[in-house]
Amino acid sequence: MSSFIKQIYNEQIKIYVRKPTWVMYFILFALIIGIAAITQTSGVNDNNENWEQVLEQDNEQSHETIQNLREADFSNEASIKVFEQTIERNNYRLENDIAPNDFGAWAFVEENVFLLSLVSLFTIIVAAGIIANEFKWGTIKLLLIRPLTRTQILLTKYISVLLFALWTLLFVWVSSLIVGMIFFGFEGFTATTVVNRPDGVQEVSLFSEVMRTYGFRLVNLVMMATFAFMISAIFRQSSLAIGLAIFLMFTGNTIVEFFANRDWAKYILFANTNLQQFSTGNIMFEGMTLGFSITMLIVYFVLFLTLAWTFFTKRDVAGE
Amino acid sequence: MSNVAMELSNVHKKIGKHEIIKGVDFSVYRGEVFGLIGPNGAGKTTTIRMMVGLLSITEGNIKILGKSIQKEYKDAISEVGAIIENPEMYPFMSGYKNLKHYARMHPGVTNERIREVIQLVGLEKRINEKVKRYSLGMRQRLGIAQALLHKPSILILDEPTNGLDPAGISEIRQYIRRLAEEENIAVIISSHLLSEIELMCDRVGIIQHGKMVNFESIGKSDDQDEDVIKLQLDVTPIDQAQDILSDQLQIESSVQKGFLSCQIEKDQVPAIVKTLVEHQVDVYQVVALKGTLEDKFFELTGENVIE
Ligand SMILES: Nc1ncnc2c1ncn2[C@@H]1O[C@H](COP(=O)(O)OP(=O)(O)O)[C@@H](O)[C@H]1O
Ligand SMILES: [Mg+2]
Repeated sequence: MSSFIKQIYNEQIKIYVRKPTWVMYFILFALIIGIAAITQTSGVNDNNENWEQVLEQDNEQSHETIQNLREADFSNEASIKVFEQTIERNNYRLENDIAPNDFGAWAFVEENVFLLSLVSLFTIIVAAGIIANEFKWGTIKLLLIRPLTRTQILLTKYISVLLFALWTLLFVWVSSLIVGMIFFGFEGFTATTVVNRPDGVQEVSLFSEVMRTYGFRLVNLVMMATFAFMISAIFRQSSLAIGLAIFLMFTGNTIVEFFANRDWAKYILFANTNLQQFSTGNIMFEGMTLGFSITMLIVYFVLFLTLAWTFFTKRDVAGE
Repeated sequence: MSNVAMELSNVHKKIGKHEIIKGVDFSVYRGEVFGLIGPNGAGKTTTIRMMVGLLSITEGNIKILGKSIQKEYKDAISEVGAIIENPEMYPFMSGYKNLKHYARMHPGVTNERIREVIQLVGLEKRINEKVKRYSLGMRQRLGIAQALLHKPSILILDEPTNGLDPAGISEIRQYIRRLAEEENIAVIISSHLLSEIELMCDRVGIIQHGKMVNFESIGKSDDQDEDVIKLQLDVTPIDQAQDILSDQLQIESSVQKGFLSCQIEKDQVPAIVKTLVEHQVDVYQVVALKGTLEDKFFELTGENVIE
């Protein structure tokens, strides 16, 4: 094994041997069990024979809501679109006689996608500490005087953060699936669901839809982790990195909305992190395309890493 | 000379507007223990940080076995093992896990080698304990173990005697001498206390205000050389003795703490004793102080207490 690969292993050990990391996984697992138990006791809405009736009622309500939204002083196009899409899906089911699935493990996994905000938070904490802690502990000196360049040390640390994000995402996914199977049963790999696409409603595999949902969230996860990593590399201080990254994570969408009527709003990072908008057709700014967003994401990504690299490799490691 | 392990030429370091190192030149040879001595704030750690590439070099050059630490970093640093200031390790891992961590960063460090260095520094019994429970002395030992893992040609120890008791220092002295003599390693060892490392060094360089002010060889000169020594005489009557020395032997002496003391050449001692006895002076004690280096150090650094 090369020193580089071994160093990634070293970095992984340093993450996973520490108690704060175990606490993160414990919290995630406890939440998954807790959510399953609450969902169970509050009664799962398994669909009965008259599902057609249920969907039609749902449609009526949605129409009403849209009406109300239209009449309100503030017309919220995005919200209206969400209800319209629900109606479209319901109609597709009614026309093609596709009953909704009973609530099962896949549905549980898909609902738990909100836990990825917590995974983002944990990844930010790890990314913020991975360089800053070496300075705090004083171990940076012994880490850097090895036959690995600073660029290589930086890369092994960055890769280690991405691996942490990936393992943690997989942990949520797999735990939710297993816990979901135990509590609610399993729909199987052949189960399908109905989704909105830009060119109309489609019936797709439930499994692949769950994968897509998680996959799209990876973008935001990686960008926030990279941002926290950059701050950690520049300021060598983890609390600043955690604070800034979490602040941006929670205010990102608000920032975009605040500047929504400026021409440059679509260049803001957070206007581009939700790639799912191109999959559902519910796009934030007119004229934005998947290609545009991916280009913007790459620009930000390269900018973050270049700044991290410049500061980490060029600056002196002097005493305090 | 092909035996040069580390070579500093005209090394300067500026941080902000301050010039901390103002043109340092010296070489350290294989098999030699070189002491870098100077009061706190003299620039020892700064110089060492430049040697291992933690600090950039503002002007000048540092070469390790002929390789520039700046331009051929990987090749140069492979030859170096070091501890810099406090030997900080990952507190949440055991001593052994810490060593494994650093071992993975060098090609070819076997488990056998890890056991060897643990034995060398005498940490066998506590090696599986978490580092956060180690005393400073144990951390120093672990630090030295870590620095020796990859069999470096140059060992750099910044203030390794900090936190060690006299027994610990004497132990370090023994294995540092062995490393230099048996394995032909060049050892660079810094301290603000000359007395703590004088006995393990072949040569010392005295650094003050970012400049090397003197170099001294130690050891070999002790017995034979006609070096100037400092003589302390416990005699009565002391004033008379002082006059006799200046009249008969043209030796200037002074009275310090009840002793008559003078700087002389070693082969003058018998004549001094004989002359004093012949002039009915009672001689209780004749002490030759070999600490001429210490005097020089104080003289150069202008302080008696270095803290
Ligand atoms: N990061 C820094 N910025 C500015 N001055 C520094 C820095 N680090 C050290 N110094 C100054 O450089 C001088 C030498 O420090 P140092 O090399 O640590 O001395 P020593 O190791 O001999 O005690 C001191 O006067 C110290 O105040
Ligand atoms: Mg120092």
